[in-house]
Amino acid sequence: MRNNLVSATLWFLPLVFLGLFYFYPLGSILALSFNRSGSLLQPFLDLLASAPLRGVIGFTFWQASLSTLLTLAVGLPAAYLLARYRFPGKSFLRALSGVPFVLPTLVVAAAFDALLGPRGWLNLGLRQLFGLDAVPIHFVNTFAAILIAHIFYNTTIVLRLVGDFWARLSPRIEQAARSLGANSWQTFRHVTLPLISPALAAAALLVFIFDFTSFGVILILGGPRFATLETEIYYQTTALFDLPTAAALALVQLLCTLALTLIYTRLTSRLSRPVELRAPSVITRPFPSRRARFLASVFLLFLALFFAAPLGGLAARSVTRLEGDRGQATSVQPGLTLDYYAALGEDQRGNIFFATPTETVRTSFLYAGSTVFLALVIGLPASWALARRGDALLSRLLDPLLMLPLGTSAVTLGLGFIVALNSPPLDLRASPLLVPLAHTLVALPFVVRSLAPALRSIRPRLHQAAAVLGAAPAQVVRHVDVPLVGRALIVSALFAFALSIGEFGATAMIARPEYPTIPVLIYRLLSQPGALTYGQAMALSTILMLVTGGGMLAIEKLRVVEIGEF
Amino acid sequence: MKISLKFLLCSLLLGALAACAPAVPEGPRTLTVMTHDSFAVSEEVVAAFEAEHNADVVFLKLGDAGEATNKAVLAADVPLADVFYGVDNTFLSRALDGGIFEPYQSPVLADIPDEFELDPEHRALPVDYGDVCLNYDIAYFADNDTAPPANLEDLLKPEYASLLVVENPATSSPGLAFLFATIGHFGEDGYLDYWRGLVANDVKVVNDWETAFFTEFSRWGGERPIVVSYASSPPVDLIFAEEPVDAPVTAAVVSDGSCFRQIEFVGILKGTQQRELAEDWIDFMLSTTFQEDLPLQMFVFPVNPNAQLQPEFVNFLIEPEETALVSPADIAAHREEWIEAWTDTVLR
Amino acid sequence: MLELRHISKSFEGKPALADVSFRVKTGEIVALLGPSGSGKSTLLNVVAGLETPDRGRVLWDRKDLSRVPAHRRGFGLMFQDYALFPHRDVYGNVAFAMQMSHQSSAYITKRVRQVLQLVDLSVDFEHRDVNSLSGGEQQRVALARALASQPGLLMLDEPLGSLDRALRARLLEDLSIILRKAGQTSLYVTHDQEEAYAIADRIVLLNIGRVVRVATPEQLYWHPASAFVARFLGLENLFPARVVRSGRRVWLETPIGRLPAPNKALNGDLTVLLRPDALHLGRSGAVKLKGKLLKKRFRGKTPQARVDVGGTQLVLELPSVAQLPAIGQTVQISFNPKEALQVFPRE
Repeated sequence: MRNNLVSATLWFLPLVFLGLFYFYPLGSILALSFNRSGSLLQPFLDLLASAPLRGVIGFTFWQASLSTLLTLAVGLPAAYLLARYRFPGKSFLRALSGVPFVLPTLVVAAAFDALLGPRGWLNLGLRQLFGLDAVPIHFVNTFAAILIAHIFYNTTIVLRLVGDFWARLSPRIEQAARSLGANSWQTFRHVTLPLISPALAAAALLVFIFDFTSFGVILILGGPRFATLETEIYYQTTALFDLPTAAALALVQLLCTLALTLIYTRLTSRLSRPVELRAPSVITRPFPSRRARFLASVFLLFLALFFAAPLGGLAARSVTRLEGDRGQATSVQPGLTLDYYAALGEDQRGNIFFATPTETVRTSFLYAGSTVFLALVIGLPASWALARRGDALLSRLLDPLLMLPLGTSAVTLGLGFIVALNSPPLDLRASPLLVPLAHTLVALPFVVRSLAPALRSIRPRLHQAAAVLGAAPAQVVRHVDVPLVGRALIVSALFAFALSIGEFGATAMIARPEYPTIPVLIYRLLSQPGALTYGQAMALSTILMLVTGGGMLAIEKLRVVEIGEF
Repeated sequence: MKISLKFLLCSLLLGALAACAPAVPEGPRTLTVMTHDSFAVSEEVVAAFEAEHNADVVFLKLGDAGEATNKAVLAADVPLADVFYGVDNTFLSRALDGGIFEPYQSPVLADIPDEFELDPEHRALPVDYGDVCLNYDIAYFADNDTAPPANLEDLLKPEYASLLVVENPATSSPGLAFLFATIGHFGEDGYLDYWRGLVANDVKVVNDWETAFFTEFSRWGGERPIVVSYASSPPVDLIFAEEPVDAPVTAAVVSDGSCFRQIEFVGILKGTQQRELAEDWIDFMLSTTFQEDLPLQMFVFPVNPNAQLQPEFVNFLIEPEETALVSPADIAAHREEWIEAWTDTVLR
Repeated sequence: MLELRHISKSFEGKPALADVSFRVKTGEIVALLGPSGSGKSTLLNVVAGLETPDRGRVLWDRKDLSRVPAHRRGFGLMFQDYALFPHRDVYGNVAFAMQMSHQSSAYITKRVRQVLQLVDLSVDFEHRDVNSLSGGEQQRVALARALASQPGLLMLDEPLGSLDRALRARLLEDLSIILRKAGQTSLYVTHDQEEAYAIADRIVLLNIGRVVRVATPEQLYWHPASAFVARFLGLENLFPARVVRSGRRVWLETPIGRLPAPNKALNGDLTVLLRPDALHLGRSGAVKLKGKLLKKRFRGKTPQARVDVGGTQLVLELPSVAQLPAIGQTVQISFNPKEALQVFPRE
């Protein structure tokens, strides 16, 4: 009874927040949409009757499944190597893999374009090398582009979730299996795989959720021939203004996400009670043989290149002169230049919305700082409630709700804000505060997922030890809890920060034009012709990459040795 | 460790406070103008208006033209702003049907040619126009010794196979305008056949202007020397080149009926508390001060014939004599149907 | 002096401690011995103030501790898993209690050196990461941490539990020396009688939450006083016995035959113990038995022999020099009842 009261208190703030800024706007727009059709059922019947829409749902599942499988295929070997071996550049690789995760699609698309586009470095190189007239590699607007971009975005989830869990799994268990006569494949198949399966399944589900609700990748890299639920909602809303159909699709997507998050939260709660776990430092070792080192190096190098090449291609583009190039391989004279960076600071047009990179970075930082503040204030009690034992019911019910915003169409929710938050004291439609609020919705699940396990990890023993050694309750908090949770707090703060810095969709939806964020400014620069503006967009993207990359690297340095939840 | 934690907490608090701070602008009278993402204006132009009318102008950007229109319609009961600028003739019907505007017959309208005035009730007043036309890469056709396309029909010829990239009308505003151009030119009965011909001739469709222009267009290294863009793109490209260039490297196809004219409108939102100031703002937008600022800020052109164009535009802008005509009523009645028919024909 | 008076505690209706009372005198080391689940750790938590007893009182120097929270008791507790703070280095762990009570840093530095020396860790350990220490090193750090603030009472919860045998023996010896050198009043929890014998002045034997016996190691060893204690101490040769009287003669009827009753007033059903270390081969003792040698087992100092006496196995612990006949041969066994024979009430 008392337990329930405590956890109800802890959930109060998170629920008020979700209620006001998620369920209320979402409910309002859905209600409005279904009112327009006059019937709740009709849009769903229409949806079922429409072959193209059924095709959209089918394709959404198909591309998400395939992307998830491929992401696991790339991520699992990497997770194994990160978990079991010591090698230089390990935390750099982890940080590198995390950078795409927080970059806006716009920038990722530009990065792939810089590498694999018709005038990407790869095509340029191949054409010059073989004197080709035609572009040898076609990447943009192919199914492969969708898959590769999804792998690029989400491999870090597998590395973090599976890799961290694996890293803490005692190798004794595997050694025991070997001593009982199992060969290495049998050991993996019958011992390791079952042991890591909860982490594996959780990672697969989370990757699937992201692929399932992917928007920018499908729209920009996939092109018009591919439609998923999320892009179809956008199409139905913006192009056709068919709100009932959009609402029906949004609800279908939401229910699928809810089902997935329910399974996901059940799985991750199993992760917190794992088999014998050890500190990773005890477990990792150098590569046992030259052959192993060679094979691993080849794979890791490939992986690092996979992450670094598009990002590096973009950075290289930002310092390379484009003018004088008429698309013919022979006439390309790339010259180094810092003009684009210099031009970022110059207002050519006297535009009222002009913002220098410094101002833009400051705006982005202010929004990100507020997001961090909000996400921690709201996320901390929620994580606390999740970390408590005994009162699982309330937490079990509420935990999946935190993840739900991730699976909600941003277009729908954006309209919900317009419809619902229209009267004082909640007339936030034009308020800059809406940006950190929307970012907090996105960051909250990540904050909670990194704080809860850290809070859970504080064994009651340590509290007792501190008490017996003469620490008063306040001192226990100050000297034991805060330092132990502090790093997790900083890690989740950095995560929220990076997510907010790179977020584009929600920001663009509500942005006050006089306060553009970095992604919004990149978008502005990209949407007008001119070599200089394109170069500026690349330069600003590079700055964004560096900022988020720095954040990711800091996360690696500060990360508590901990089972990664995501 | 301790210091960094404190530092972080402090900066978070400061960050939160700072973000809250600009929420309530203090000032004489405030006029809120909602618009689309592409809106841009010179600071001094707005400052001139603010000084003259003792007002603060706050801009809200609410997505592309379609999204902004949707939001204005959905917020009809409690308007988001006093004035909405940026609904164009492809979305005009949605805004008018949504009943979001109050009529206002600005005195400046007298100067403006009738062809731009699509709403006889003066709920939406024309501000600017831009023509969506085919652009081509001059160097490509020079290098390959072929003539650039002269009109829409040319694109069906074998020598222009695999040369065209267009935007998806469902996701891109120039894409939609180009679809209307083909409908205006070939008629409601003929446009789908034309598109079938384009598909047979290997037209490439991408979702957004950025991809079409910067990735696929050969001027930027792509493989397609013909792209759907604006009549203004060639001079704009020249203005924002890295090094001074004396002639544009791209050109627009402006033969009769091959372009579609997008006209952007402004209107006073129903329920405004600043009707008088809103009227002043609209008069101002139609005045030469604002109209002359348009081309360099948004690469669109003034509807007010008294406005002077910059030399780059005077020298290098080639405008179509006659654009494809689709009436707003037809657009209102058929736009969704046409988009879906196009999608079925070209994409599926 | 620590005094426990009638402590009872149950968890969800299941009694964990029932009416436990004993004392630990100043400077004394008392071992709390018992099988797992006997309530030792619960009792320790009650003394430390981490658990509140349902009934009974804990007194320290005649002062009731009922309302004194754990951090004000001034006791030290060394946990079985050490519970070292993973975010603090060795120095940070050892200094913790003194920092909590705001001692001067000069004193803390001095004292940390002192205790590290006491537990035989060199100064360069001070800034080692506790996660990188070996089991034995962690144990020493945990001990140093518990000792550093000079606690009135030091409690050690299975402090050698997770270590290997050789290390255990050595650390036990060290521990005993350290505690005695410091004159430290200590409560030492263990399930291992050898440990208890080696370190304790007195042993409190606990079974299912009750005190079964309080005694010095010698008393406990030589006079277990109940069949449970004898069995817990690993003594074999426990047999059911019945008192049989025939006129004025009294004897015990057991599976290995008739044995003389050590005391004429005995009555009814009993359990009899023949201490394996007090049985001899040959005829030197007053009571003689005959049997067949079943097994010999070499165990180092005391070889063991199993002999079938009338269908029941009897275990003998012999001096290592003893010459044993071949398996299957008949052997003569004898003992002196005063040394070897003890009787307890039947359980």
